[in-house]
Amino acid sequence: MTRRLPILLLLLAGFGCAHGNAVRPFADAPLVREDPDLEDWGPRPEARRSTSVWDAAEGLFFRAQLRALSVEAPRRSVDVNALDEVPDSSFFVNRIGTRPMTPAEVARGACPEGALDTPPTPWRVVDVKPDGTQPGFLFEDAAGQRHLLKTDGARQPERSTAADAIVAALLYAAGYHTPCNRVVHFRGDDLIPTEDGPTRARLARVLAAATRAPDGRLRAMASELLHGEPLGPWRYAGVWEPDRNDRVPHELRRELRALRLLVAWVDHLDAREQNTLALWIGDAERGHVRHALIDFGDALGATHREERRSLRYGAAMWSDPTATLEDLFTFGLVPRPWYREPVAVDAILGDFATEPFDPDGWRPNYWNGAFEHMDATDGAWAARIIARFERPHLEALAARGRFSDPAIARTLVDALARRRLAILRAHLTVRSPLTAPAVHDGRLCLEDRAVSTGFRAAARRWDHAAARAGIGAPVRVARPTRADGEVCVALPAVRARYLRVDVRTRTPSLDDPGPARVHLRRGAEGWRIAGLERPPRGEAW
Amino acid sequence: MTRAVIVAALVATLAVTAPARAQERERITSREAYDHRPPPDDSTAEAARWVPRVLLAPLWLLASAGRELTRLFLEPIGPPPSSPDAAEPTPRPIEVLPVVRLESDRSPAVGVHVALRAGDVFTVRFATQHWDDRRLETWSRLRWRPVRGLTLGLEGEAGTRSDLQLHGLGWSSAPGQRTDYRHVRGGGRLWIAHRAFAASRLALSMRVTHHRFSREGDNLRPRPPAPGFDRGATVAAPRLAWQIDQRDADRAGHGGVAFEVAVDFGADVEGDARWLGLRAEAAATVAFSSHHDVTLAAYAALTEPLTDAPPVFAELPTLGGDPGRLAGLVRGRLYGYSATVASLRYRWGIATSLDASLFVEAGNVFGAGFDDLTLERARLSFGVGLDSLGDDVHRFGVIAALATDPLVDGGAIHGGHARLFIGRAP
Repeated sequence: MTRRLPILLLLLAGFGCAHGNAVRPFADAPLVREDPDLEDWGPRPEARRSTSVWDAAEGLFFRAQLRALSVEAPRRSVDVNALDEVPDSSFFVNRIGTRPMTPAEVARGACPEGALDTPPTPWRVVDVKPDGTQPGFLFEDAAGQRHLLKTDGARQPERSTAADAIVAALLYAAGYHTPCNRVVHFRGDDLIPTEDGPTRARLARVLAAATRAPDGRLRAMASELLHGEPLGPWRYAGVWEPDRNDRVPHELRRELRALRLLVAWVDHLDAREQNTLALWIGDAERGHVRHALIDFGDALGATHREERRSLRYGAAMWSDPTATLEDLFTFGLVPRPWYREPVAVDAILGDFATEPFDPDGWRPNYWNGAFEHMDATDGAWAARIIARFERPHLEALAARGRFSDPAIARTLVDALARRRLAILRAHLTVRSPLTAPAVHDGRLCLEDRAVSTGFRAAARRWDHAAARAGIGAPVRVARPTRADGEVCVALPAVRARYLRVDVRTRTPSLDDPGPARVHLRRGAEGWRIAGLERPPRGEAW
Repeated sequence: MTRAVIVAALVATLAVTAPARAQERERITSREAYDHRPPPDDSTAEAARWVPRVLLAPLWLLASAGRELTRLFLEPIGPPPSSPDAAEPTPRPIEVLPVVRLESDRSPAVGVHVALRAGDVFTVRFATQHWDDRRLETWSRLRWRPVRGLTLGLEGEAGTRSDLQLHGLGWSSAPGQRTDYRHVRGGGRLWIAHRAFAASRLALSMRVTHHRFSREGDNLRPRPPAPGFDRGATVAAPRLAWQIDQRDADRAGHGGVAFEVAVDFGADVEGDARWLGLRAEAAATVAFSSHHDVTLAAYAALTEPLTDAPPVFAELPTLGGDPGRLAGLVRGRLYGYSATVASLRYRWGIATSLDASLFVEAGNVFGAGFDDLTLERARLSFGVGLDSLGDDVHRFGVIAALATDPLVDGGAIHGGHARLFIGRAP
């Protein structure tokens, strides 16, 4: 066995070499714009029971260790179409990433147009809030719509309710399914207790925890119940067997892996099973499952009464045995982000505006099964979405928080802008920011997302193009031209039926990502886009 | 043999994972279904990965088994009532916790701690540790906070301890001179404490303790026991203690100074012994970050007999057992009419609720009035510790330390002490 091993390895290497650098063309097939998991089926399955305790234990103590012991190969996201984008699915709908949205649209989130005001009173209190950190109850407004109401609690008044409203709108604009969350002001007289609702004593405890406005009204967050029949939470890893459409393991879905950057942006530590909701869209006999994200009250700078826990928020998970053992045996001499001196925290935003932010060093409460699989291309995809949130969008979002002091909204906007910049520096520069390829009049044009969103200046951009026809013959191509945030290159006159065009753009001394490699097929009407890939810089054709 | 082991591990790995992998064939795990493009070839790298996979297969099987066992227990549990990050802890009127103590040269102790609460005003606690019929320790405390800054308490304690060793009195005590004995004691304490401001605490207490001792086993060198050994004693001891502590002493990373002085008057109600006890401790902590600090501390204790009858030895200053008291020695073996320890400790946080520490100490017990105190007669002690953060009844701690003979006797390492406790701090 020992003598045959080198020969075996040589054979394997040879086999690998024979296939390693082959051209991988995109098939002549329609672009996948909609995931097959949106197809209707039936009947409606039984609701799934929450396993959040096991989810946490697995994320903290087993998942990473088993991956390491099984020497698992890095796996690419699966649900990525030929343009390196995610199709609309039960988890995600393309919104700001593929079309511009006005600040008002972004701020509205999932709420119907003109529905950002307090729900019509009186409110009939119909049920208690079953679990979670913040106290609350279920109510039905005068129009018959049911909402979940949550208050801030004594610590950090206004933050939790504002975070729920702002982050729900932000993630909705990004493409995820979230509820319509609104900051509301009401009076105790607006509530009508019912037989099925909480006791007066419990209701009084909830209201006692609410922030009180100067005019005496109480502040809370009202979350409109999502459309559909609740089926319980969903997990960020694996599939749910009763859902016949659920065939792509969730940890291989780009929209879930890349969600890591979006939640890091807003410091949403609690992105885990307990804050998800699966919904049946349809009737009892036929429909499909939609996967929503809920409960963002921990975002935008939550602090803890224990200072040490607060310092670790965003820098360490609830438990990190590896770091604990490292710190034990190195006598605490390895620098850690949480060793910093606590800065004066803002009464509402905590240290959200002042803490150092490293997009790749950011940690949720525990790895949820998808986040730890995010790779460079997933991160670049999320960065292209985040880039679309410019300052006016952030200001509109901050206004949803209805802070009593306008200075808090300004502080929040500055913090979001600073963190956005950190994300773009880390992830929009790793792979090409060129996107949305199109062919017009014999020219291939792409949007430079870094320039169109103000991250880079067009005047300082350096563009280059190269092309290969068929299986690899180099073809001369003109230098790209640039206008209105678009980079265009004239397609060469070649006989080949398949063409690959590399368009590179960079800002010297700031970034140097790899090219956007556009694959084109010649059809009856001329060249059409077959696919787009974003190889790392230096990767061979 | 090695080849057989490797092959068996591989087969076992394949057998265990076969059902899961069979299920995965129904899943979409290739991007080709979405981008209509053949996947990149990874066969060479994948083949190479099988070498470490086979080698790690036994560990992987062990970890997988652990995962499945844990899943069996945890998966049926529904969502917790509140997150670990809950703004305010859910108050529990009744709390039951385990109490465990494992200590070198002592039999293990396992018990239960029960707490009854009425808000933050009234608390009753009861703890007991019992391993066999030779040992029982019971402690209870009733605490009442009628107004802010004022605490009234009543505490009771009873226990029997066996396998104890008394090495005699004075700085030169050594295991070769030990007396094996059993100590039965019981008593109570009534106290009132006032916090004039956050860092200050003034406490007046009255303690009554009943001591009885008996020899055990075959002593190496039977010798006259320490004062009060044969007769026992019932001690009444009022005490006045004043403490100032600027530090958040329970966690690393908080600097400041601390000072404590206590005076007590002891009387053996069964005899004529009367004495005065003085205790003083000073510490200065310098924090280097929110998670690191160094503490320099000094401790001194003195018992001055007021009559010809000496106080019962169990009431004399003693060292051993805890950091700052020569942790490398087991508690209860060194007694003297005076004691002093200087210590240096480096402490750092390793988790949200866990600190580690390294410490070195020098000190010893001495005669009346420190009359034979010299630097050369000091013992050294050094060790490591782990401590959880929290109040004194929700604790976890580990200590491992070594101690030396007095430096004048050569200073050889002679003795060590290791302790693990869960529950009420000893």
